[in-house]
Amino acid sequence: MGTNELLNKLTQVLESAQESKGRKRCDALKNVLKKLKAKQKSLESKLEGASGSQKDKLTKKLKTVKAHRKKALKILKEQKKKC
Amino acid sequence: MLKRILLPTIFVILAYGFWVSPNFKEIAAGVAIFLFGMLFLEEGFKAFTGGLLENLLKRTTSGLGKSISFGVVTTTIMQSSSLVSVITISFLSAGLIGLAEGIGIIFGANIGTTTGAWLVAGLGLKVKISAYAMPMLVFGIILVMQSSKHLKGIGYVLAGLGFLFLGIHHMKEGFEAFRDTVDLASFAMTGYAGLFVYTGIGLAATVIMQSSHATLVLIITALASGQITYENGLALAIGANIGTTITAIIGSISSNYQGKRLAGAHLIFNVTTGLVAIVFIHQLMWSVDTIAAQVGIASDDYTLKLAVFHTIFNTIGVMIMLPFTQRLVHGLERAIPAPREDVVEARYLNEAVVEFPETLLEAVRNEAIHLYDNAYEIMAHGISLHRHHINSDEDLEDIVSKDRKAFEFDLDKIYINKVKVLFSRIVEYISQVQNQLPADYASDIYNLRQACSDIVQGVKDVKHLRKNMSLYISSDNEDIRREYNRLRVQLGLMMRTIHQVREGRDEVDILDFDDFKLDMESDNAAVNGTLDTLIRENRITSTMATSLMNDIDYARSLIWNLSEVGTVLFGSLDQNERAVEMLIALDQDDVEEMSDEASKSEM
Repeated sequence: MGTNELLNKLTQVLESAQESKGRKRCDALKNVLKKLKAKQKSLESKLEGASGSQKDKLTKKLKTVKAHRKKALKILKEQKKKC
Repeated sequence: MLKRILLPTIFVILAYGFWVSPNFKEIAAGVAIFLFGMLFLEEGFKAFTGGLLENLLKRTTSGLGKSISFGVVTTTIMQSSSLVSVITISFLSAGLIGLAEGIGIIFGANIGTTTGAWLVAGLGLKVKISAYAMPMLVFGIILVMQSSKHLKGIGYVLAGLGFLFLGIHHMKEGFEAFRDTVDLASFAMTGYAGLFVYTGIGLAATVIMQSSHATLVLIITALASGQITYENGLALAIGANIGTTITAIIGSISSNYQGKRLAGAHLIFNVTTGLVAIVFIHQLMWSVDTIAAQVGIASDDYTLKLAVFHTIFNTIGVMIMLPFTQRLVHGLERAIPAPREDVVEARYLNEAVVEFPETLLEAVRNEAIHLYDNAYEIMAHGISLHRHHINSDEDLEDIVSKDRKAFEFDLDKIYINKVKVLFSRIVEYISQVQNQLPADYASDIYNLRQACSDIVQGVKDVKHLRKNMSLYISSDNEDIRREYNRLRVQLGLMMRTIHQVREGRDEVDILDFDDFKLDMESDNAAVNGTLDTLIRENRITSTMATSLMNDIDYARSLIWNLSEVGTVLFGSLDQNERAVEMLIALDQDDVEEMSDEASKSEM
């Protein structure tokens, strides 16, 4: 095997490792997003029946979850190009 | 059980003693004042730790020769070996000198004290430091009230010396009634029996009169009037030399283990010297006679001969004990061990796992969790909450409103023994192994070290927070109490969430920590206008307001530190998922942006 061939092989291995890493990251992101969506839905349903301080508390929590989802989606968008 | 009844029993016995004997009352009061003086003296010397006095002592007592010279010189100047030994105990207790140096000073003091015999015998002089007791007390107390640390220290030393002398004075007064009962002639005996009996009498007389010089004067009088033989007179002097250690022994009662070791060394030295002197009494008498004849002291001049004897036997004592100083130090260290500190040791860090990166990471993570557990105790108690309340599902608002009592514990001591020691070990371990770890694990190990650092920072936040929190949660001012209780609840809930994440409860994850960050940023008394209202309506003082403002900052810092710790230590077990969660967790900019939006929408 020539040097060039060897280098190409090595590059392929490294790239596939990088790709696999990126794919794993994408999967993890999707998984977390799924959990966040479920959490958001659960909070929204709880909010419907809530009142007073409980309602304020749930509203705040919902806001945080939405912020997390927004951040996660942004990262996923960037990551998808690499996935 | 025994411990519980000991103190009341002592009180009853003392009270009975005070009732039946005014002299006993005087003696006991003397001992109490003396010990109070010791406490002052130690406090005073502590003020000079790390300063001029410590440097001076280090220079003048480094090495046995120097410390012996120091003892000789100071005792010659002060004319009281008891005082020098008591001050040396204070030096030792304050950590200004080591035990070997202290023993050297005691050796020197025993030689230095013989100059007293020469002054009494040859010049009829006696420097009486006790005359300065009252002025020392007055000057000392004035200086104690000064703000300068060093002046305060000098004040404590002066007042301590004043109290020491006052205590000795009262002990002497109390023993005065027993003085006349000592009839030296009635114990006349020959041979070694006589020697031991008179040594015992000399010892008792010195304990009673609290001065070996006073015993010396008594011996000279008895010798001059022919009440006792010359040999018995020497035995009395030996006894006086042993009896003089009583002051150091009393002084060591209030001191730490180091002071007790030194008092032990003093006693061992003086008893050994005394025994040697008794065994070789005839040889010593011959030496005294020879020297006396050489320097022209009359054979019946017992005063000067006693001074010669005192000098010879103490110098011989030092020469005998000198080669055994280190053994004496080791023996005392074994006999009076340092109190065992409850110092925590690393449980998981060992060299065996270095070869296996995954195992090594797990070991460090477990040790970091061990560190967190120790810190959690401090943090929970620092905000006056029990861990079992935090870890439960009980309503924290209800708990804090019911319990207004601040927890009392030595935060610094627990921090040193359970947190700092472990943190140092983890940092040391990581520094040793990180070069052997593959690059893939570098960020994990870095995160773990950072988490440990955040734990320590969290404890420090609590330390600052605790001071005012302890004060205001028991305050009668309802408003300030409510605001501090609010902080307690927020911090308690944050710790509870970490506990739940750690337990792996489905309904919580590390992203829930962000609720507390946001809450602390946008809904605290300083931001939501509560503080302004409370000040404007004179419901809290400006001091309370500034304390609260500072403490909100400490609470905020604690929340952020705990969030980082919780994320690294208890985040998802899946490495990728944990990395994602860390990526989407709200950072400082996100929190500020969201809190700005919230305040705009409220306007």
